[in-house]
Amino acid sequence: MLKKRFWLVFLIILVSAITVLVFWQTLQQGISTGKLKTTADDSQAGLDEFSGMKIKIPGAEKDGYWELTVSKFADLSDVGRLNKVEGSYYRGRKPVYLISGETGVIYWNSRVLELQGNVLIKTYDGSKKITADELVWDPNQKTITARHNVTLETSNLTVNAETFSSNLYLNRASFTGMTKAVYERVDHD
Amino acid sequence: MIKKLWLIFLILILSGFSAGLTKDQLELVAPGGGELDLGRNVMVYHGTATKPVEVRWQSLILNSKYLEYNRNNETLFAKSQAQITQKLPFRTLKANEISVKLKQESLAANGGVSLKYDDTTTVTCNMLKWDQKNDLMELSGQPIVIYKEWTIKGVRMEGHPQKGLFIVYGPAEAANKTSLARGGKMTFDRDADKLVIQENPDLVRGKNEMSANEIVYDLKTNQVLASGTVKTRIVEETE
Repeated sequence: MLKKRFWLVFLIILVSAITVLVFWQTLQQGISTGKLKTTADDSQAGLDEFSGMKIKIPGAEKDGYWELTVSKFADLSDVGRLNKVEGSYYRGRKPVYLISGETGVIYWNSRVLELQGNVLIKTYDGSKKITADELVWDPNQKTITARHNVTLETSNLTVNAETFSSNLYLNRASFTGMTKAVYERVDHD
Repeated sequence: MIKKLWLIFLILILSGFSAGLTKDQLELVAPGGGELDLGRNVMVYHGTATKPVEVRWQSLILNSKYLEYNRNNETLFAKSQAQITQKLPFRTLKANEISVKLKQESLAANGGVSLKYDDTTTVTCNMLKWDQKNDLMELSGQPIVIYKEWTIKGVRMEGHPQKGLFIVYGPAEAANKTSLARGGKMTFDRDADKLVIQENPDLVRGKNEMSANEIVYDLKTNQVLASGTVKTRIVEETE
């Protein structure tokens, strides 16, 4: 009788221990799968990194927004860092501009978009095109600013300058620094 | 068949070449930047304290501190130390303001106008209009032609630069150190080096005064040819 009771108690303890162990392991696994992928260099606390994604960013105008495809996106608390950016600016659901750059930064609070490296912005109809080393789209100032090796191409006009600044419609602009312009005059005779 | 292909190829090349020839280029350098209004198609360019804006088209160069280009009506407006230089023949036109109508090939200059016609001839006035296509220049606002030691003045002038002719409407006057010619109309022929004085012409040389229906003064040889009713007299010096 005593033997039977001993074995019974032992069995209950064993099953309880196994149950607790299994429960604990399941809990640990669940916590680890819920974590986002973090970079090995975790000096920047709170850094989330994603590969190959599309981002939609509200623009300056009520019905304006950016749709950008990036090869890499790193999200810090107040900025987003972009790699190999390509996308369009929409106004009233219609694409207005095409834009691309090697790298970029989006400031979440101000919605300012900065692009660097072989930057290109052009109208969807191809009537205006700007290339530069850097570009800043500021929705608060309602300006587009391009810096370093700026080239503007429109119909029969090519302008090179150090800095270019325009409204968001690219129809009123100013150049600073040494500016060179070549106009093609078509003979109307 | 091959010959036909070569012919078609040649025609295509020549068409492309001639199409390229009909397109002019206007090249502009603005050291001080500029502003573009692509809606109105108007551009403004600035020079700096030491470097002006420079525009080149065909054989002309326009410099100024400030330049406006209206692409719709193809006009250039330059102000502040404006200067236009023609390469062949070499001529320079300076003024406070110069407006150029590119399609019509005409220009207007205002304020402190100075045209360096050639090495020995300079024209100054306050207003100048130049129809380059029809070789007609109109000068007003105290127009003066300075040719070597001669100064020719009038109320207004008409120039034909390609022919080297300047017609002075008077009362007109041409003077150097020794001679003074007056008349209602004078024609200065730069190429022939002659001055034709008409409409009551009068010439005073030293102590001699001459009047006639027409006086032709050879500026190279200083010889005078008078025609019509010629009158001469000796001018007495009064003490």
